[in-house]
Amino acid sequence: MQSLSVRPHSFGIGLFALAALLFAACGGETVAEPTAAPLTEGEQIVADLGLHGLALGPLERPDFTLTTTEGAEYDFQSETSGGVTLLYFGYTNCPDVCPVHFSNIADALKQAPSEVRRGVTVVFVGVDAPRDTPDRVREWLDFFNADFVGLTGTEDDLEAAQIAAGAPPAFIDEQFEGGYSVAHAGWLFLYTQDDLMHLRYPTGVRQSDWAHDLDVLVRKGWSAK
Amino acid sequence: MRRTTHILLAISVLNFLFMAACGVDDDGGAAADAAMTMGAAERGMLAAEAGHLTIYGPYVPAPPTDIAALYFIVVNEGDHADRLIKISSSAARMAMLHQTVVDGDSSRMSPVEGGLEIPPAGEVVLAPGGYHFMLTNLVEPLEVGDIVHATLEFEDAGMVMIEATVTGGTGGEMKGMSHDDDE
Repeated sequence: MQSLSVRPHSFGIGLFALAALLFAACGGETVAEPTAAPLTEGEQIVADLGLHGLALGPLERPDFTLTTTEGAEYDFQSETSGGVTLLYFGYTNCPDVCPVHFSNIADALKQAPSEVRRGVTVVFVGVDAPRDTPDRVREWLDFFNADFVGLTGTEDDLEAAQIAAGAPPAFIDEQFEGGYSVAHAGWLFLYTQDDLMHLRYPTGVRQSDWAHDLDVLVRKGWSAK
Repeated sequence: MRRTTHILLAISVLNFLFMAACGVDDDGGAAADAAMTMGAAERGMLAAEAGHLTIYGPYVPAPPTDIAALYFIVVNEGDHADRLIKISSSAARMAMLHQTVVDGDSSRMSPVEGGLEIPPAGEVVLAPGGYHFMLTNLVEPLEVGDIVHATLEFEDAGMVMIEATVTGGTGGEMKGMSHDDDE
């Protein structure tokens, strides 16, 4: 039941400590300018296209297979290849960031031209195997958009999928009377037509940001020109 | 290859954290924009007053299942701190104060131990991506337009009743990664 494992994240903790230093460093009266490190190619494209995601070294569209809420096998790489895809590892008992992310994306797509709406596949992976049953994931997604793809799997398959995508595997975090919360990837991964992930989206992306970015990426694609 | 990826990833995360921490406006910086939405003009409607405390704009985004979140803003115009220690709501069998924290690449919910301090001449914002009251085991489904009654208990100001509206769509934007919006 509680077999989602608890694992250390030394990499994350290191970043967290550095972040704390940065927060402390700029708590004074003067606001420090970020050092003018040269932009990477990805960062330059993000700047040129006015995107709201964070650039990172491209990662391949991952190869994993899970099960849709309708019970069909879903080979993520081949099912989504060649299109704009948003991939999120969340859980349906998530009260705060997951529903806000999905509400923002659903509303942005609802108002988008049909070319953009049809050009984006949104995939939600329920990482909380005991509670994210196919029916519950479907119910959760239908609240936002019935076209969103919901995937479930065994704990091993879910972990393999998260590792394949470069996400920190989810684990049971805090337990409380009547339930528990799950730590999960804090990012939405975005794959473009070239089957690479050039950028990902943190907590804090607004509906208008999604509307802009999805429009640009569907119509124009990830391109410097 | 993997090492390079990690380094690139670390740089982009740090860059983001730096911008979030320092409020640098990078023309689309979510944290900076989110902080702006917390300005006095957008606190929402005055919902309740108790001594030196005022509660603004309580709302509950319509939840997809039987778990919801309650958000509001507490402004303390007094000269000493108070502490929000408990909440209860007839709409849910349990209400817990949490803070969503970004811990490296993971998003976690951290319990807020010992209550939430409301600093003197300051305010605390409960908003998506930050502090929130998690309402679990909802008594009945919540739909847009419903009213959720809740009782907040402060150490000093005592009990305060509020009515939160259930909102549709993006009732609130994410708070991003900045906390402690004291202005």
